[in-house]
Amino acid sequence: MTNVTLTIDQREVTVPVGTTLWDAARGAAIEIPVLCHDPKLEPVGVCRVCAVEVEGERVFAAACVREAAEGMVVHTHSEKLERCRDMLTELLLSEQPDTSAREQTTADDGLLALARERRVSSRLPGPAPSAPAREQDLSSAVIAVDHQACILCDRCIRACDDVQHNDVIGRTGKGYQTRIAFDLDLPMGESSCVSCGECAAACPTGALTDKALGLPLRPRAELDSVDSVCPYCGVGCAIRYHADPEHNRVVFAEGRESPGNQGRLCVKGRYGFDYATHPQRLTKPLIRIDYPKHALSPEVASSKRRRGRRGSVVDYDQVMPAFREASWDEALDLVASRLAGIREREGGGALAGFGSAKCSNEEAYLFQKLVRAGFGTNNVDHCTRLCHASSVAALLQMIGSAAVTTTFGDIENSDFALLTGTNTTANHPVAATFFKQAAARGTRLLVVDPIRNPIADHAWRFCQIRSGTDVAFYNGMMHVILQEGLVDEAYVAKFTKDFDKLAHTLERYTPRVTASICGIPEETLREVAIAYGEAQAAITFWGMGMSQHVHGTDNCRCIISLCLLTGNVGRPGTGLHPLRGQNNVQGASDAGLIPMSYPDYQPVTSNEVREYYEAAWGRELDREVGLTTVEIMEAAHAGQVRGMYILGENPFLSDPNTNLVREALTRLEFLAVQDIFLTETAEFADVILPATSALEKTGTFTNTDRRVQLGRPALKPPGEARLDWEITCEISTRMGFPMHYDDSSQVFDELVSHSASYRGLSHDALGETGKLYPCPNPEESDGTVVMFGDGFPTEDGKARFVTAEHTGAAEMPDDEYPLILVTGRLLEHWHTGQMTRRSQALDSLEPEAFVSIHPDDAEALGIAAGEWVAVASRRGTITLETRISRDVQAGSVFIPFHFREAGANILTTDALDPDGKIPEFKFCAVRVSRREDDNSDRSANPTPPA
Amino acid sequence: MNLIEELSALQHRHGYLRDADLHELAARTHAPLHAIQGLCTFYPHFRRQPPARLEVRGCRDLACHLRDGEQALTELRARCDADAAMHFEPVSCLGRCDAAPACTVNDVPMTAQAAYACLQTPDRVPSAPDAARSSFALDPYTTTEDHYGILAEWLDATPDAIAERLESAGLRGMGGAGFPTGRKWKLVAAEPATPRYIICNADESEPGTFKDRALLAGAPHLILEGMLLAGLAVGSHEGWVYIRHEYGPEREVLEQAIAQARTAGVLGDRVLGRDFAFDVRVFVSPGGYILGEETALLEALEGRRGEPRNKPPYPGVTGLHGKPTLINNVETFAQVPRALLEGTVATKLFSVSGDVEQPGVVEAPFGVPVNELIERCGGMKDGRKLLAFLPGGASTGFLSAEHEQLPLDWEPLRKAGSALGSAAVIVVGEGADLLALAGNLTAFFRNESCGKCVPCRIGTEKAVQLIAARETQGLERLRELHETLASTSICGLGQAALIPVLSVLDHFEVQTS
Repeated sequence: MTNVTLTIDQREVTVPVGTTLWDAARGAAIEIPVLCHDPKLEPVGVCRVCAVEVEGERVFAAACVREAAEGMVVHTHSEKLERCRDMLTELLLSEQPDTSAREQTTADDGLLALARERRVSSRLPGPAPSAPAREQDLSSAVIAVDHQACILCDRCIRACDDVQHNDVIGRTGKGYQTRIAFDLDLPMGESSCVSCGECAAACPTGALTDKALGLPLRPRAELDSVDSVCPYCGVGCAIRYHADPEHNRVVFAEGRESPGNQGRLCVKGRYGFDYATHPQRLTKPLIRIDYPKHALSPEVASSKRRRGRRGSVVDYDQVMPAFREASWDEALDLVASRLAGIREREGGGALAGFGSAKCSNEEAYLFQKLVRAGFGTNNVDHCTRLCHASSVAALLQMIGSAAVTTTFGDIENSDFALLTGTNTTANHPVAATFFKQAAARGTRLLVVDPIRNPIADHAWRFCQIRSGTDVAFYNGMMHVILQEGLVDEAYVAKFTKDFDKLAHTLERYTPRVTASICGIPEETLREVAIAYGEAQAAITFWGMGMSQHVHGTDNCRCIISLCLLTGNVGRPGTGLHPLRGQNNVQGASDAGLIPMSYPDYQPVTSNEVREYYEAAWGRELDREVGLTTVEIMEAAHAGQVRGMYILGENPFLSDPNTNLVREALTRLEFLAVQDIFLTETAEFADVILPATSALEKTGTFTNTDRRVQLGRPALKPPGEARLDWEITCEISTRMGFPMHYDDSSQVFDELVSHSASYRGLSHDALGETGKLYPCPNPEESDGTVVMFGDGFPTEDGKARFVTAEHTGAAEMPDDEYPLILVTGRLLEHWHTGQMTRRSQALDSLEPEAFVSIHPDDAEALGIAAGEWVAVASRRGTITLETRISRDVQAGSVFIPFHFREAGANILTTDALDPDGKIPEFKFCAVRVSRREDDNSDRSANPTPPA
Repeated sequence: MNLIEELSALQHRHGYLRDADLHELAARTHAPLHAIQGLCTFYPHFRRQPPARLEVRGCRDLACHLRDGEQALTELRARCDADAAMHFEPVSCLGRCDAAPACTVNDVPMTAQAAYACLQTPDRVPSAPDAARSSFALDPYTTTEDHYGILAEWLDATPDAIAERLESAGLRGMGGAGFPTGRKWKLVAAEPATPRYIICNADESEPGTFKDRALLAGAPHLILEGMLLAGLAVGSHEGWVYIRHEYGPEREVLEQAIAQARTAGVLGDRVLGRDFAFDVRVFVSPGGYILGEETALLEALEGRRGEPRNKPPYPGVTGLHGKPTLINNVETFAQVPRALLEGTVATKLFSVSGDVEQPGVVEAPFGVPVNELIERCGGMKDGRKLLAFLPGGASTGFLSAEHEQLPLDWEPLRKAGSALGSAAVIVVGEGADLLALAGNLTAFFRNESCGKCVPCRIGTEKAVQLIAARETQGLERLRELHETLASTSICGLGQAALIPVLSVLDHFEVQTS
């Protein structure tokens, strides 16, 4: 029996088995009041307001938890039921504080609304005088807690534990003295809370409410509600901003229902919006007056740091005197004439452009069009070079497509998931919630990483391999899979080629050899390999721990081979998913913002393709592959690139070997920087153009899933700041390559006209929650989740195995530099901190640079937690605070790269992966010393490029 | 080990639960810290501070209250407050209402008088007494060698035959609800899922109820035999005894009996040499009356806060670890062998406490009137006249003295507007303030509410306040409160919490302020 028929309020209702009475009634348009229930959460039936009468039963049932049964006769309204609901409301009201924090902010207190609706006020005595007071807890940076207002509906508990899987909130105490508690009943701000805000979003009363970040919170109806896309990571959460148009400020943000994030947000998305209205926003074009060019702020000039000086964003008093305000016409003319001058004098190859993965598809498309057709060069790149260039190279080479083969949410169909080189809870926090949820439902997570990131707590097995031994590890896994006969031979025969070459390479990677390279027991390797091989549906996610190596492309080749070998591509719950870093790194690459291809990965080296674009754009185009990000910097250093246009990127902090970057930027003849703040890079600019933030523009963004979503403006640009795509058009037109568009949707249409993958899409077609490309029929479909069920976009439809050998890092530790440095990101920050350090909440949560070091190493070096240490590599030295953590392996240290006061990239090597041209951010040799012990300062001696 | 067992072990090792140990436990088991916090604060047995050298507990509930308990607690508190090496805490019913006012010193049970004496010589830490053993008519065996003879006879019977026989014998659950035992066993046996579990509910914690304690001490093999027969009847191989931690001496007797039964080949892989495996394990409750509620008990057995589940599904269908589970009370299991042998249930145990000369467990036929029970307990205390009595424990209504001849059996009591419940007869002599006594019972339910659902968590507290205020309007509000608690609470605790006070308002004269 799959359906049951019951009677609710004299109406016959047929529902699937397992349907609750509340849902059944709702389906029949019968409303039953609730407080503790939220259809998105597992019902708990604790408030009892949804009580209904089931004939033949002694007591009422809670409709939210009670399953409908055949023949059941249910009454949802009777005098006694209404009396009980009134009394329950009255009981809760009698315990409420005088004022509700929710009523005073968003004015949507669910209990007070219920009381008003039922015309109930409390005639009962108030809180028990004998019980301990239920106090307020204002310790969190973003959430105010009022325990007295808590009705113990457990919504926050379910939001924290079952939705976000952060497992911070639970019930403490018993009976009348029950409260919610964080961890071992710590103040919220001292607990392991990651400030995602899911609890406050779920709370129906004033118990958990968002704190104001700028303007006081107000009811939604009094504000402009704008449906948009989160401007941070590649997960691309659907978000709703509530903005005050009069003050031009976002007041608060909420998650929005979408197939991707399903209403969830993380701390950055929910509380990190106020950067857009930070007082340091650039509002007028600036022209440099201080020559010869040099770094302006002390943090950019040198990595020396005064003891005790806390980290912060740039002090405008130190940098602004080097510039004067200018009109747009003057600034744009100057940019166009100087860049054109270089082009005329030295050819397009002397110019280069960095576009931005933070900008829209439209802006990425126009930027590369300007560089290619206006500058006359393919020297255009963006930060994908620093994150997944190697993944893209391996994917294109092996399966003929660079995008993910399935969505992160598809993990719900997987019985096994490999998560490797990804600190998912920090870098893709909302995607991580789905991974944790899958783990809780029984999906086996195999987490492989040299660092024990929090996602490892949810792992079935965690393999803490030695840094840089990924190739050996996956070759070893595949060796076992071959040995155990777990190869999907039918799949391999039908959909792949060059299996023999792979098998030949794998012979050498016996469990013993692999174990000795990776530092993993042989048995563990065998166990995880067999489990992977036996999985019905295995999905693979990876991050920059895989890609940011000189063997990054090899790393990715190995996991692609692993998937192909076992037929784990092209079915629900299987696939390859490189978790893309920035909000639009997928889209920017799709739009052609990379030196080797036009939109949709059409190679610049193809005559046919080039001729197509020459016809489309009316210009002769560069026949050679352009320089990549790090190559451009090296070329600038060598005097080959003379002029640059940098939009929304901050290579001074994001690129490897900062001392070289500083020199390279100084040597540029002309640099135009277009940004929303005066970045470290902009300190070397000749012209700075004030641009718009994601919160101020209309445009599309493509997330890690391939979901193309429309961002809408919640704010007006400050001062004279202009839309990025308009500025690009202005420069292009003034350089003699006219670009004119009415709006960004027109730009998008032009992009779509060149891109088979985006065919069928338009701003209008994207709707509220976007489309997963390919989506040729957006009127009927949300798009394609699983790709390549029937072959690959290669010449013969087959994927190709490409083998890889374990090689090791470019710079191994030695006596002088005995430790391995791994760089990475933090949950609260993003990229070079331009936005997040200007967000009040995010900055207060993680205000300062630090290095994580294993307690054994700390002890050997005599370093205490919190102590300032010097970290030195062959390229420079930085000074920063110590955190002691067992999450890093002994022999390794971790430094986040967001912080200008101690830039991790002072230390990193600019050695590149030969295929992806990605630098090895995840491995270089360093020395850590107590600060007074270290007298070396190499910051003034950059190593010349190799 | 589940989290509760882990915490019990940690506390046993260190005397209390230290932060560092809890963090280590969380890391080792991947349990969230909040879950550990939730357990530490839900179960009264767990402590986060080091214990004083002498930890004194005194019962604050009705049976002890009737025997000058309040006075005794005041004295003990004063004594402990004066000495840093001593710490006093009032607690809920200790199940020793026959030794009222009941106390413990370092978990050793004793009367308040003995406890006070103990504190006068604080250098001598008391040691645990042996459990008091007595014999019962419901025990069909004359010698210990005969034990498990009935089991042996029924080993070859069909499972259904055992349940049939119990049903025709009229055996009903002795824990309070009175559900026909044979029918319950059949329902569990009919469930397709395996494994199935047998649980003996030895978490007797309701004020005035201590008969199971007497059986645990006096007839442990009878209980085990009942569980074995249940295992046979429902097709289960795993039994649990869920026993309250305050029954330390009784637990020892039970554990000895289990060890003996294992040695004798009664428990184990081949019960009495047959192709039937059954073993019994003991789970010590970290405290709380609510754990006697069968789904709360299951939650505790699974290592969580003992908060009752929404029902259905009932434990017979979805019980321990989601599997069909038979839960019966200690006395129910102990009644099984004789019921099978004789085909009838002739006697049962009554816990008699309060204003009688010698409170204790009385075994008597069903239908015995209260005046006879009083007589068998040496008459009314100090020759007072009977004012009222609770026939079936704290969740039944007070009956006035005019019911002294009423047969104490399921039907007559139901008709009189009360219930047999757990057959805990609390006797109240003339001169007592019944509203205050009802307030004491209401406070017990408030104290023991798990806090999961709104009506019980908040409603019991409001009731305590309204009763204490004694205002006519407030007392009338109790009726509305009772309607909501009785109809919307998740479990029997909230549903019954205001029954005693309503019975006082309905049937007795009440002095208002």
